[in-house]
Amino acid sequence: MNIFNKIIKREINGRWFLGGSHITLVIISILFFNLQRTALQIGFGLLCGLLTEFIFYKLTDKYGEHQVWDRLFSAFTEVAGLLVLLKSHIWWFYGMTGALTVAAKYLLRKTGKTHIFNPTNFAIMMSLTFLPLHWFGAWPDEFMRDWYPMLHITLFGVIAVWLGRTMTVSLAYIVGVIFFCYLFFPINDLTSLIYALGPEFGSIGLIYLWLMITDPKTAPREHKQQIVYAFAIAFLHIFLRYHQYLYSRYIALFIVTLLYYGISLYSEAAEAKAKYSF
Amino acid sequence: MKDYTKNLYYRLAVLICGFASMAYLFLMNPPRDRRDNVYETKEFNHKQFGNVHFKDVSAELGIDFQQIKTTGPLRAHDGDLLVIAFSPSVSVIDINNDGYMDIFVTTARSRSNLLFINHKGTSFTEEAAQYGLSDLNQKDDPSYAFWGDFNDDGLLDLVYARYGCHGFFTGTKNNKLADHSEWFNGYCSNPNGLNAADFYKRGKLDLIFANFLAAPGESDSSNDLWMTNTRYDNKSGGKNHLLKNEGSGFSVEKRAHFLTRSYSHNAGIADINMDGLPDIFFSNDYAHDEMFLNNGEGRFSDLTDQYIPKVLHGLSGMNTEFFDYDSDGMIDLYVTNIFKPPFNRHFNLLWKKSEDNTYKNVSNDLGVAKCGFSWGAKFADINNDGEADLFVMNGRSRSNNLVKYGEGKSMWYERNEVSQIPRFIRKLYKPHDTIKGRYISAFERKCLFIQKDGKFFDIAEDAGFDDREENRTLALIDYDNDGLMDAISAGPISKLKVLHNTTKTESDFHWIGFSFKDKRGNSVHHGLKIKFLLSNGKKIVRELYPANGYKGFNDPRLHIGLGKAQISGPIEVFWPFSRVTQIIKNVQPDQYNLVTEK
Repeated sequence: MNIFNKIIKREINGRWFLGGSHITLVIISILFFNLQRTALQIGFGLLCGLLTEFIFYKLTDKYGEHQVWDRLFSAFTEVAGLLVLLKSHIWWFYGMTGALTVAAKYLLRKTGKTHIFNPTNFAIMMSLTFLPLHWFGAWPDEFMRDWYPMLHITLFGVIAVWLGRTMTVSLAYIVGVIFFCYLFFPINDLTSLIYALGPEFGSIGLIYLWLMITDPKTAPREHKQQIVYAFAIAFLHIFLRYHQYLYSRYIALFIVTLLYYGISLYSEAAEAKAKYSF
Repeated sequence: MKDYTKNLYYRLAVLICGFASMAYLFLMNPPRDRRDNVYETKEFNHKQFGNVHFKDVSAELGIDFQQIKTTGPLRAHDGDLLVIAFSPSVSVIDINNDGYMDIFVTTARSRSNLLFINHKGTSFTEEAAQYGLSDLNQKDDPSYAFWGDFNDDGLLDLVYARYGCHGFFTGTKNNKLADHSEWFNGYCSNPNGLNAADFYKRGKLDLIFANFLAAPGESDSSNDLWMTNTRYDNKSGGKNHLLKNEGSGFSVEKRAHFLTRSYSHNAGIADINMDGLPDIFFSNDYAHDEMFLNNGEGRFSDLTDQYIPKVLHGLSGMNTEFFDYDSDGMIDLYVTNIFKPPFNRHFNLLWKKSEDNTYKNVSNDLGVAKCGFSWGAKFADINNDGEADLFVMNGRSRSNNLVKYGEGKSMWYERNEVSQIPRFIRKLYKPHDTIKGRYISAFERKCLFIQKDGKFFDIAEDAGFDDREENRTLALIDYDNDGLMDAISAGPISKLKVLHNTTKTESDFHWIGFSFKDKRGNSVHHGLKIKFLLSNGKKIVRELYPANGYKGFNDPRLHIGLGKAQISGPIEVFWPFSRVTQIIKNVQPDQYNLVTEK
């Protein structure tokens, strides 16, 4: 009950639910859904992720001295996210992407503590851009059609979004996807409706909806901006889907966060200009 | 560390690199369905293989056949023909015993089969009706035509497998086959492949049915046929069966526990553990492949994981080919899979056998891992240089209205989208209206891997083996008895092609061919083995199972390229029915030698 009250009052960091979702999903999927990740892949992925986090934590003054366990949990969460979303037969793949994810969080930052890109999405996009496509896939295909993972992701995700104050992003994204699906796809019967909207309700669609685009560090804080941000992602995702580009979700999120960074810089420069002119 | 995030150059660098990455992604490596990234990319000197060439001679020979789309038992899914379409089976047999191989092609429900009789390698005429093979498809779609002597009379019998209930036709002295389908005692199933061997050491051919789909009444397989995102160890396919030959009929061997209900495409046979008994390998779609060792009493041990580690399986097994590709005396195994990144990233596997009967995958090292949506594959020495080469078929399907690459939409992509839909919603999805103008691995070429000094090189484009038809069936034939192995390719919507091997071999390269006749007078032998040494130290070991492969019943003779080497020492021939090993002498190179059992 105490935890429930804390959730209602937003007194818990949403990352615990994001990480909790990924980590428990990996374990449950290995036990019940035949998740094809070897012990070596998991171990090496975690080792690289944690080590990179620790090194950057020590090298930078981004976080206070007493947050080492919090930082390591953050790295743990990100590597678990990669283990859920990426599938590769290469033993070192998760180690490399895990290190990249954590490094991106430290190296690619806006002013202050916030990073520019969702770290997991950044690692996926760099892999997609620069690595051969036959090295990996970015679908959790072992479990993505089953009901349990959907329930699991939604439950953890709704709480994480509530705590992260990004519910507007999720809701606007749902509206945006429905709107743009109707705009792009010829929906004239149940089958075409299911084709257009069905994938959004699978496990990967739900991970994206609740746990990726809603990252409080990378999404805007104001509600109006959140609505525009979510609509932009929904538009780009559906546009790319219509033109049969793979991994349209990851591409859409990457481009929109990059644009958002550019716009923030522009706004900052405009503010500075106004200040000097005053 | 100094806060660099306010630095103008840093900010510009992030923006420029971010957008440049996206430009690179879309321009250089577009994440779309591509046909050019499904092959081996190893660079090599093409000129060294310039003498290898194939030519489509179907029209010249008078062979004209194009399969129509057929769904097999999945008639409720008739609208989904693009996805579920079956390739014809092609048999190479000498049905009139004139020394030249004829070609039998199964077609589709309500269509006549075709038997092309070979006139000394110069032309073919269609004579299915004269042999009683024309009208066998009144009720069900045909699946596979399997030939052998089942009733011990020395004449060639035909097991005519259908997607439904099967036919059995015995050979007669006037060449017209007689219907004895009662041998099956009502056994019906949905096989994609069939094979036979003497599993019980009784001198009788027993049948293995590799049932792709569940048998009528077992369950509905069709809802799980989603090509991408393979579910491991799928349990809704057909159950494979061993049918014991009782002399006057077949009975299902209940002790043969092929427990899984995988989607088996075929059953390959070889003596895997070299105990003199035929063992079985099932190449399975949507599941792990399976390897069973035979104890000779109708029982089989599943040693898949011990011999070929499951973690390496492609989970889209299409073809089984047992062949000693490196002439070390050990029979290796080649299994084709689907390589279509990023949808499916499963390599073809070349399992090299070691002395302790375990296998190691060497397909990536040797350069035979990638050939798109691979189906039928067979080894043969194309240029008689003494090194085995490899044919691989590639391609899936397309709508009839698409005639060239670039038209239509990728069904790979759409299938991938659909596979993300929750299962309970997907039940409502009926894809009938969405398949017009679609393709799946269409307009992709076949592969022709030629071996040189132990490595393979894909020379399909140089050798004229690169048509863009969607081919699955492969059958090897030397139709003109010139000692150069020709190939027949066919697919679910493509024209059947006879590809004549017009390679100009070097003058000091030789070959040797064998045809066999046992005491019964039987000329097609399942399980016959031949062994001999060459002067260059190579060990030649061949096991004759003409039905190993995909939908092809291959030339039942043996063809062996010798290169510059000569046969050294005795030639051992193991006759499978009598289980007698015979030493043969006085063989002549550069011709087919008839070996008669004594």
